[in-house]
Amino acid sequence: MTPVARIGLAIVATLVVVAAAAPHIAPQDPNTQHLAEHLRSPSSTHLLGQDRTGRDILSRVLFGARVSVLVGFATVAISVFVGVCLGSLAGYFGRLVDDAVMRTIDVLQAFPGILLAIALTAVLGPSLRNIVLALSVLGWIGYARIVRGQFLRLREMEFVSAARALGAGDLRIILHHILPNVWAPVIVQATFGVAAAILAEASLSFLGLGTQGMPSWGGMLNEGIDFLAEAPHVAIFPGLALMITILGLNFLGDGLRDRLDPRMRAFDTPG
Amino acid sequence: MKRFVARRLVFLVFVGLAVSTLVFFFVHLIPGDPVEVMLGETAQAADKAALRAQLGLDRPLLEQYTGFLHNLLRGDLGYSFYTRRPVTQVVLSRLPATAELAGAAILVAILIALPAGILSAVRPYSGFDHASMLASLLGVSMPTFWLGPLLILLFSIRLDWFPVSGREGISSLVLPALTLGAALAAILSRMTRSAMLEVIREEYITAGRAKGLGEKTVILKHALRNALIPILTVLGLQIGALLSGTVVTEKVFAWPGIGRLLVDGIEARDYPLVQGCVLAISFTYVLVNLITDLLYAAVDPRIRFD
Repeated sequence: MTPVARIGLAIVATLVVVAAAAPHIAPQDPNTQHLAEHLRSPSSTHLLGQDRTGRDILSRVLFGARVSVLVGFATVAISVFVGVCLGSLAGYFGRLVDDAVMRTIDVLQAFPGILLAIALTAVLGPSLRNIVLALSVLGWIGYARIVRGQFLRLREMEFVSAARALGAGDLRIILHHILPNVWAPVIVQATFGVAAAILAEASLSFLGLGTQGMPSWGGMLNEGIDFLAEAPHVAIFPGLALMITILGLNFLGDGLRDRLDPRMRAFDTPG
Repeated sequence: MKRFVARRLVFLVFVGLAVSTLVFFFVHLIPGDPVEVMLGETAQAADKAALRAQLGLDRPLLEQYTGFLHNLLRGDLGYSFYTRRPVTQVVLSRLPATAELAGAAILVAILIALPAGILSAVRPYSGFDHASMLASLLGVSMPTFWLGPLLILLFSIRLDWFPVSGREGISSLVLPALTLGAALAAILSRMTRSAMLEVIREEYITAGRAKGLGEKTVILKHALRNALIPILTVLGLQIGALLSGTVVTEKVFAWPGIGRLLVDGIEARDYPLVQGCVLAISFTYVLVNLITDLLYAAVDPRIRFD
């Protein structure tokens, strides 16, 4: 693994640990307000300063990692599952099934980026579950495309015909023979997918459509914008956390791609 | 070519219908009663009923849907619940601001990405190349709603070079365009670099050099032209991200465009307004995609015969 990929792995591992251990490592309660101390700069008791209602920013940043990790991994888990299922069916059976899946993709992609997520979250109401749902509605498309492409390529190969000749049914061929060869690009895409989901959740929170009650980086940035002149630290630190997280995931994804890609080619040899 | 265009136009109509339907049903599922939001919870039941009838909210859903489609075809998007102004008019009045922002962002992105990408390709693995690739990595990882405030902090508050927000004159366009265009510039510069690297290796480039053409001519006139095809593709693919990026950027800079209108409309539960904004953005996106596809087919003759 390249040094850059190692850094990425370290960042992601740190993120997950921080998210899991937040209640134990945070110096203060993230929701306790100290109204008299609003917008205080970083000090010895509040290492990253305090926000509009005097809450400790460091603790809120640490707890914000929970929302990011939860949304990121949950969205990708659902998207991968749905995408792999639909992609396999479309790629393996082709024709009608393929058409149905691709047309659905075309219609869903008529909505730019997070617009659909914004509309859905507005409709369903802001909650962690709804955000994950809204992001998954478009999230599965990337994985479905990758898997479908792989299936279209692999189903013509000799090892598939051999399996069929030996009496294997469609389901067995899909699950046991073709799917194991498809995981590498899916894993790489999933890593980038987590980054995208975390960024999308932050955007939604920034727009006021995020979870209420739990601190989230995007929500913190939303509050911080009003005080840029007098208290820039309120916006800077959650943004920094977000950027480091996304960078780490991108590094990791690049590293995984370099590692898994050449190996993937080994499965290309026919017979 | 004609068949290609015809097929895409038919698809456009179909997608337009699907998008409108989806939008209609979304907006009507929004929790919270708009009548209550507008009149307040303590309003008289009779007043609420009257307003509901006036806004057509008491009719069965299917009837509202067919009415909606019918009006849509006439260009009538209803009236905003709050301002009572026709939505079509409000949306159209905000469109120029968003178009200005998006256009400026694309311009900024191209002005940064093309030279950076070309120079990186011409001197790969040099100091400049590494610096440029690092900058592009940062550009992609930095959220718009963080870059924006950072730029405001530095250039507006500390240095006082540009206004903090709003839309007054060209100086207020600089920071928003830079913010929105940064991510696009990052992606485009990477794409330019790899596209140019591929093309430079081609035999016709070597032939050009052997012929005695100056390096600048070889790079700019021959290599760049061919590298433009994948660059254009990436640009087309990123338009969607750009359009949705305007929603966030407009909020950060209080830019009076459609994105801002959408967010305000959602907060106010203003159904027709939200509907109008989502439709406007989606239709624009579909149209831009169509134009990009046509441009792509015009530039690369291989596409037309697919």
